[in-house]
Amino acid sequence: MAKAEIKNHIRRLRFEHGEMTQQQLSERVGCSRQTVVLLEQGRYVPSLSLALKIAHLFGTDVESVFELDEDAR
Amino acid sequence: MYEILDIKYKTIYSPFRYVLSAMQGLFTEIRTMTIVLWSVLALGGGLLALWLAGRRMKRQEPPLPADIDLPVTPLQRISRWGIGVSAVLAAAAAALLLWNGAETTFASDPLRITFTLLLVGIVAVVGGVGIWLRAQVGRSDGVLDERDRAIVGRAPAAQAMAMLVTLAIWTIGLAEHFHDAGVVPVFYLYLVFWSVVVVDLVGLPVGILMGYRRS
Repeated sequence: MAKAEIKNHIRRLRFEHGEMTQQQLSERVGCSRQTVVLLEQGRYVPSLSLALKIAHLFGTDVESVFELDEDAR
Repeated sequence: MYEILDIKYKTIYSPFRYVLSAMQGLFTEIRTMTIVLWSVLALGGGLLALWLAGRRMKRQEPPLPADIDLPVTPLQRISRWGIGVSAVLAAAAAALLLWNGAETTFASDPLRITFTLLLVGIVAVVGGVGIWLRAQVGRSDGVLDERDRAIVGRAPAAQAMAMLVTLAIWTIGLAEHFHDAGVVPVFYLYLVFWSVVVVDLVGLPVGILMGYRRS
């Protein structure tokens, strides 16, 4: 099975929410800053639980934060 | 083995003589290798197995851009610390063995106790890391996140292979070295046990650091 390529808008959403730092985001969703860095770089695909926490933090739904990469489909 | 090789050596024509001669030379070398060399080979073999497993795990993606600062997680920090302290203690134990010679070290109570304490120190340090890990994995409000937990879950994969390689090297080495005598001195068993314990325990933090390279 091909690995799903998922891109996200975390970096943009952080800046739209008071220029939230990676450290602040990591503390509020309960993960390490390294995980946030790798998420933003598209190197790590989060669990559904972490994806929901991030979406709720930005006051939006999961699909507004994460989406399947059209090129990889 | 020697007798079989000798018989074949006389009857097989010349191209194979070089191969058989080389094999005879290898077995002679194995039989005369010292205890220190075997210890180094056994530990080195185990660590080589871990390194090879790490090479297979290496991230296939291109490296992160140079301007990206990838912070160190608490799990990485404690794993590096555990490996570092273990390496220092292992080096001190190896130096003790090299300086005094294996037989003197094991015949002298103070030297043997010091050697054992250094190895117990490795067990305490790396075992402590393992205990801390188990406590953290079970806590939802601990310092580990979901990625750390996944890495910890995969970390023991290389441990069994490293232990098997260490045991195989010891078994082949001791069987060949003491083939004629038919008995193995007790202190070799002591080294076999400790080398397997060290490789097994150090394998966990090494597996964790490899996991970070992969995921």
